[in-house]
Amino acid sequence: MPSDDHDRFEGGEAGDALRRVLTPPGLDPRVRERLLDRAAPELRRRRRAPMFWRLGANAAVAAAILLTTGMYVYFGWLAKGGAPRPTSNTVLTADVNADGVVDILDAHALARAIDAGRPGRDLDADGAITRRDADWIADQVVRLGSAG
Amino acid sequence: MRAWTLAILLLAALALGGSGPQPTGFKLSGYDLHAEAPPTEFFALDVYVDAGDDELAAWQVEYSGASMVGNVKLVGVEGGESPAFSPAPHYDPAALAGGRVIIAAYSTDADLPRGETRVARLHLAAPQDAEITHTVNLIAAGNRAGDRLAARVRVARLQSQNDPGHADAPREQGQEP
Repeated sequence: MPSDDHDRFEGGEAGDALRRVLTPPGLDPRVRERLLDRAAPELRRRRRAPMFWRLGANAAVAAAILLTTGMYVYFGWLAKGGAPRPTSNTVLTADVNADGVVDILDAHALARAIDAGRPGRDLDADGAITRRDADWIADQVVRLGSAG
Repeated sequence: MRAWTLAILLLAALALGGSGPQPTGFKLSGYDLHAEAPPTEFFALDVYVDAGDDELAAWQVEYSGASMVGNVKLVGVEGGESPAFSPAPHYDPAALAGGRVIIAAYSTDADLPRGETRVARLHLAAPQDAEITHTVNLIAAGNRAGDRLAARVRVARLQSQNDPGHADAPREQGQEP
């Protein structure tokens, strides 16, 4: 019977106390079994609750550490003058002279193409191909972090 | 749980405190916590690009200034001497109040400069009488046809803007690539 009790209550202080209370001499074993069966689910639920809170607290701490680290990296990056860079597709499109590098020469090449009426690229996505697209390249290449 | 809460608050405070603007005017490890910051000097630095015999149609330069006694800060950017590059060049506004900037400009004007020309003027602030190391690097230069040029770049510092009598006398030359 003690092993059955152990299975029912999975140990714990409350289970031990209950077992002590329910083992006086002369107690009808059937009554004892009924009492134990009725108490077991409640005790199990009480044992699970602290585990749930412990897991939740650990998850919260892990999330806080991740968040803090992320903020540290992000704000450190901003402090160094970092800024969102163009995507790889945009970089490929901005390489107007196709020399594998996006620099001010691409802005110049696009401006010349626009002045000459040749097809250009709507890089600033405003629906029109104008000198503003060449200026958009120039603005990208001077961004801190775009060189060096 | 209280310990975890305190730990989280401490980490958050560290993150915010470490990323915010740093206080100026005192040294963390020195004895002069209440010492006054040295007076600031404002000066201009001319940026020259030499395209040789070719026409200069586009240029891109990186500049950084450093000093042992305090920060060199960019406070303004001005255009160059030729009409083709007289508008202020492109630069990242995030460079203001920092010591590093990338400037660039292009022109499709009919009249483009040849030889050495002042393409921009940087306005800077630094601790007075500080010895400043200017580093300038030509990232790209091109001619009217869009061909890449092997140009040269240099910087020349003007006298203090508080002393207009010497405003045009180059005094200091930066490193060339």
